[in-house]
Amino acid sequence: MFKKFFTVVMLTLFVGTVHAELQIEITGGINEGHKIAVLPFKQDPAVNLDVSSIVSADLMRSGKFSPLPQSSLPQVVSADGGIENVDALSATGAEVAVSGIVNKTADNKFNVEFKVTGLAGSNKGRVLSHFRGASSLSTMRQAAHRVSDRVYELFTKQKGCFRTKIAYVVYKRGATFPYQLMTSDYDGYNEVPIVKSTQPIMTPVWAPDGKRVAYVSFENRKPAIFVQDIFTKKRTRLSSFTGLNSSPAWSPDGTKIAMTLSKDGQPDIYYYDLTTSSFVRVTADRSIDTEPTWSEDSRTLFFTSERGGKAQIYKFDFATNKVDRVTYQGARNLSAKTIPGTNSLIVITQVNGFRVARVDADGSIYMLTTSSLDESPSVAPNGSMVIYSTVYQGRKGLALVSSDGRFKANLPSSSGEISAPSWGPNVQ
Amino acid sequence: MLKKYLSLLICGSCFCLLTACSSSSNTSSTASADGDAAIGLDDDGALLVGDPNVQNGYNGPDELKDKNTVYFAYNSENIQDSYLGIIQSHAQYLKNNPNARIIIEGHTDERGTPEYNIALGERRARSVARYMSNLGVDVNQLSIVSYGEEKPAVDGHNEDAWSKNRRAVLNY
Repeated sequence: MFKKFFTVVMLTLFVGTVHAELQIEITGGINEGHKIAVLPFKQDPAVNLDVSSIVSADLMRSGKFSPLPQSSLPQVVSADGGIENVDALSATGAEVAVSGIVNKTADNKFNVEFKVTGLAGSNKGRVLSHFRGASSLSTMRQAAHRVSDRVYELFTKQKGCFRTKIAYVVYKRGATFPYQLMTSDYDGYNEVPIVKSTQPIMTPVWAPDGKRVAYVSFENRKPAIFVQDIFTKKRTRLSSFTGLNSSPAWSPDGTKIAMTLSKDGQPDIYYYDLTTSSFVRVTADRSIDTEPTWSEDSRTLFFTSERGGKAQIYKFDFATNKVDRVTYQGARNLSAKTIPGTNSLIVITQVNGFRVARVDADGSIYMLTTSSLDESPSVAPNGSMVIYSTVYQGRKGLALVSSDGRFKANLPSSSGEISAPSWGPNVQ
Repeated sequence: MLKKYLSLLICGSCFCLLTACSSSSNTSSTASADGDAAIGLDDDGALLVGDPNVQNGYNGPDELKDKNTVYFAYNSENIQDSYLGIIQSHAQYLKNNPNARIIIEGHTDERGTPEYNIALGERRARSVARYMSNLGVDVNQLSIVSYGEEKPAVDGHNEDAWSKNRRAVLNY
């Protein structure tokens, strides 16, 4: 009853913003991006969310843009979604303006149309981009994210990833099923509970098709790796060997799932070949080998190993069957993830605690964060951002940092302690 | 050197044995209802898994209830002398009760990554199992599981909490 009342109040406060579990709190780099004016769209009154505020939040969160506050912008959008007074807008200092309309074309069919107009230099007054697309009310958030993708791509020549999903584990203390595997849009909206368990859930990872996740579950009081369809909730148990069944990682080509098993003695790297339905051992070392992760071309496995003493990143090349050490700087390096489109890796490095860092091809290492309990980094499919778990103001939660370290944000949540984020693929 | 070899040997034998015990799960590489603890869908569509009625606490003999946790130094699986007595009393109980089965749970503090910590937790549990085996406990009575950093005994993000979370719990 109380819960119902609470829900009603919430709905009144946040009309149209279903399940905004993750907030965003920018902690660095906000003024370094492109200054951009995202103007309120001319929207049909039936549209119950503000497209421009979603676009503005997306662009800000990417770390590449500094949207000007809407209250400071002159109201210069014409009926067709263009800019009426370029000079007035240009005076705000913005490089470009985004403006548009959402008008009804049929029952529950809307036209989402927008223009990007130059405000400075030789681009002043020029329409740099003009797109339109159809959307229903239920897909309007996705349509807004699509606007963000287009604007992002125009500036960076890189695919945007505002229509991706993330998976993560929420711990709800006191609940009968306190360990909950969730998926949501990358910005925390449209949260969907996938599994709720009495025992810990670890390491959710996405299949390249964006329809399934693999994860570790302790529901039988020993670890097992499951693969589950996020829509039907049907699942299969992939492995439940004696000892560890941990750290699943889906190959980008979709044919293999790497994992750590200790069935043969010490933790070593294996993979399950989905085409032959068999397990293949990759490493056989007396020390800990774990945290396998695939290169973009699925031909190399990076992993953490203590074979050299303390934990460092190594790689296994399937063409040569050779293992090479990758990281040398830092007391320990763990949890490597490749950054798509580059030869760099994201790692957790131990320097005054555990921090997110980037290791470049020449072996040099750049600290991206200054916190001390960072873990579980996961890189956006376009390589621009890293989502990870950290402890912030005494609570475990998610945070974002751009791969160049300039932009930082915490994603505080109202719904429990959040960990193990995994950024889903770009499937649109 | 010899010690290392010996521990590997014991370790290996533990594993053969444990593997034999659960051969059914080893052979089933793909889907199977067996071992799937799903109990249905929640109102919001989530798959509910695990048995809410299972006791999470200590299930062992009463007289050892207050002596069932061994604590470790940071990033170490070495058993400190002060905890040898605890392990010895459980070993004695197991030798006196050949039908009793112990589950040694390995845990870590939250520092480092969850996937590394699950491996470290296993090393701690194995370290205790190895010592028990050296004390003459039948390996059939020993099993281990690592929870890594997933089940802290104490909340908090400081050394006080961490020191209580780096542990092996002797359960039954």
